[in-house]
Amino acid sequence: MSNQDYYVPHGTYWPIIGSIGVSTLFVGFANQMHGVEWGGSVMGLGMAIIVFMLFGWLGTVVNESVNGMYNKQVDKSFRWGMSWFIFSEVMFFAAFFGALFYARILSVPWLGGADNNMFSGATEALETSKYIWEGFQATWPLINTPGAVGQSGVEFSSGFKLVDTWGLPALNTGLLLTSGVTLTYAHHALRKGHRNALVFWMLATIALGAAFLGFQIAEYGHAYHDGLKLTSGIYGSTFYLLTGFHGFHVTIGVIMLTVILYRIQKGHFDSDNHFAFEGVAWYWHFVDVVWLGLFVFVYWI
Amino acid sequence: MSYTAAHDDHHGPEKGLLRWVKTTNHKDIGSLYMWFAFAMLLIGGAFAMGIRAELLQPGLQLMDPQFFNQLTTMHGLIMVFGAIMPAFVGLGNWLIPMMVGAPDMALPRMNNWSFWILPFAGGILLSTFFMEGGAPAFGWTFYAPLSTTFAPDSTDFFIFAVHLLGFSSIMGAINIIATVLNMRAPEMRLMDMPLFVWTWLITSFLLIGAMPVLAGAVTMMLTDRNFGTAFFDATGGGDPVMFQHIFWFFGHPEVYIMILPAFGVVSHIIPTFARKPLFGYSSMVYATASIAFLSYIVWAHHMFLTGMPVAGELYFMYATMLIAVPTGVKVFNWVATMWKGSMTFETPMLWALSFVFLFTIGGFSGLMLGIAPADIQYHDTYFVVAHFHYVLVTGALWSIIAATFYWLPKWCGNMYNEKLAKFHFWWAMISVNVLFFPQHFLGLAGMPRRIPDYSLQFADFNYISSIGAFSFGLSFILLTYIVIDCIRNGTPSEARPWDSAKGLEWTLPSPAPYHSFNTPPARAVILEESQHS
Amino acid sequence: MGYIVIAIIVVILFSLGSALIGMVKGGKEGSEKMFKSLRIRIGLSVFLFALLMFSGFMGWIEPNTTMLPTQ
Repeated sequence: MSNQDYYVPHGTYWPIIGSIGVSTLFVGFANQMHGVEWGGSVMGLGMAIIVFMLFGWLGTVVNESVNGMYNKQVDKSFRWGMSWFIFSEVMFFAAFFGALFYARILSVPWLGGADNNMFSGATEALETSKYIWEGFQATWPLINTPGAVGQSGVEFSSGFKLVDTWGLPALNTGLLLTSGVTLTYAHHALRKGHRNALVFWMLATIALGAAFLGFQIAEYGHAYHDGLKLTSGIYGSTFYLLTGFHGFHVTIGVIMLTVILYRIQKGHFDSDNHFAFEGVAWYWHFVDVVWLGLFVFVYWI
Repeated sequence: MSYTAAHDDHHGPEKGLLRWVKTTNHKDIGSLYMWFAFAMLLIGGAFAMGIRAELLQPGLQLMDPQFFNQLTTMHGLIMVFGAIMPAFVGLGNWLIPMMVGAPDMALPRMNNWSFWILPFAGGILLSTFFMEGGAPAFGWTFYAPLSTTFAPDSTDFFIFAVHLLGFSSIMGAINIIATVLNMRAPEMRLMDMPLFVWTWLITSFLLIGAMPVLAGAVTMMLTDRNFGTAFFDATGGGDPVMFQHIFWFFGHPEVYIMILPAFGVVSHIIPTFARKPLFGYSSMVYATASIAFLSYIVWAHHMFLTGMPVAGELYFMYATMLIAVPTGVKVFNWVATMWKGSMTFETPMLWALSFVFLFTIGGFSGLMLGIAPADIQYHDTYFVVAHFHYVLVTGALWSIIAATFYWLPKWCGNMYNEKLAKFHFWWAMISVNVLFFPQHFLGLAGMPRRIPDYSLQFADFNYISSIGAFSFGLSFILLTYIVIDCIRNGTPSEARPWDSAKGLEWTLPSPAPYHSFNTPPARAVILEESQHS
Repeated sequence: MGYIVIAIIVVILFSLGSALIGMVKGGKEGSEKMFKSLRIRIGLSVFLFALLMFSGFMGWIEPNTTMLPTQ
């Protein structure tokens, strides 16, 4: 580390560009959902601005880092920043896992007439539920929704066929876990300074991640074909939002791994100094663990 | 180790308006936050004036009920997300680097972004007024299905505005954590930190834990509204009450996000003007941490009337009662700090003292609401409105105004007009009580909240409350004048305008230099300026 | 069986968290801690996956594809 000073950057345009990009994306998205013609193109424009901002901003940071403008303390700020960003991600997923558990353990049984007062000692289904949705069976996965049409007029896609756990989900879990193993080998190679092995294992990790995404899309295709849709009531809602946001994070992870591979080729890292690699590696392990949680709680128990 | 900022950064700020767009300086960004918050306070305040004007007399006079509901909703959202939270982040930006002996915030570019998202989010939120169907009208808590099935199209814009506000808060919180933990003067230990820094550090953890859950909640709303999911629709196996659980899992930490930094501010001002060290420094730190922890496990006391399991009601009631213990520790510590002190009553002290009184009133009414069987009577009445305005207006806002007067000489280098400021304090203090105290009686008598018209027996107290509101609203014109007058024509202030004030920020000249500490302060200075008794 | 699976997940989360602490720490020591914790976490995850597959194969647990009444 070349200098002892804490680097305080001079003025920057990237944040305001980012704000314009994100706002454009959201305004476009909202209009798109309301059926406005220009919505989609404005969304695309916003996305392009965001990509431009990310390249510019992160490019500046990488340049500053390579030119030795950051000391150990700046490095530590990035480490703290990254770790608490990850914590916010954990809490975001926690909201959706919370919704899954709440529905499974509490609200679906209540819809089926279960008593919610443990002091009453009731064992039979409450009478009231029979009058509201006659014949509703509280099961998990909830394949038949209590009503056929939602409050806002959505026709629920009930009676769907569930995704076979032994098929794509198991394969995908295997792929993602293998990518975790290859990434660990890459990490090892980086720490030992074995460049060729590092590049090989990074390539393998990226390929496995991309394969996961491909199979995930295929799984969605099958599920939609079998009637499991976003409109399949609470099961479809939790299934798609959890796996969807996970897939979104895998996509980001694959992009970040690719950038790291590029930076490896450029010789930005050495065996002692590779925070960017560590950050992305941790992110990938985190995304991997989220999937494991999904696999266990959505597909198994 | 020297801290001199690298290369061409020794000179002062840039010239021109672009300075404010490009800035990475914690003081510039702090000022931007404060002015933005003030603008939002005036906008939100204008909505409140509209609400109180309609409620001046029974019957519908000025607006149709739908517009009234839009006003209450936007008043709440603007005040919470646009005024109080940004004001505290602004205070944190200005003060934390100075208080911990750092040159700037840890992540200056991100600091710029966390501010510059706000005007866009605020703009999107306010633009909903001009959309078809009007602004969201479901209350600031946006309960489903009001916000899903029965809401106008503009709700989707509201959802994205909340996403943006969430990004901003999370980035701000990450920055403050990194600054406090990594930029602190090497000689400053955690238990040497001033309480404002401690309370903000803990608040940041609350923000990072709570805001993503809010993002999750509005995302589920978005898909329920537009993509046919059924998170909050019982017909599809979901549950509208689940929305309330997710919302309040965010919402309860959120209310502590808005009060913990206030505790920090008051813990600075009272020792200064009582001329005694803060009583029980370490117990203050532990009490803050306990309140933060408890805030995560009490959320459903907002939901006693949703038909929760009885065991749940009991648990949430008892857990809520527990919060009174650490909060009591704090209030007693402030009182003990003043005990036998040689007190003087400059403007910041007046605001801080009335904070202790009035916030405690809000705290006690909160305890009343936290008792599940009693809450059946108070729930969704004006008693709740009175309660949270006592903690948010005479709590959070009071501390922000106190902090402004206390640190204004440090920020702009000038002293404000003490006479005018004291007059303004008494004006605001009396009128805010005329405004909110009668609302307790209205609530206990059974007047529901969020209604544009009411039965005749509520007329007198509503009349009084509205008069108080108009007076309170007018007082902000004087506040604006006092602050601008101070910045423009105030008499120059010394480095330490309050003779017994402690804190590293007072060792810097007034106005504070563009980069706070180029070399970190030594251990002796840190101990000299610490809040230890 | 469910409890065993959840217990393993908790240990995985623990080692993932420990890796995060190592990452924040930085330097030689932190980097070492991070790498070791990540190795534990991937090892356990692979083990958990194998365990799930095997006990599913043996019929000790049923995948979530059969509708079970919730009460």
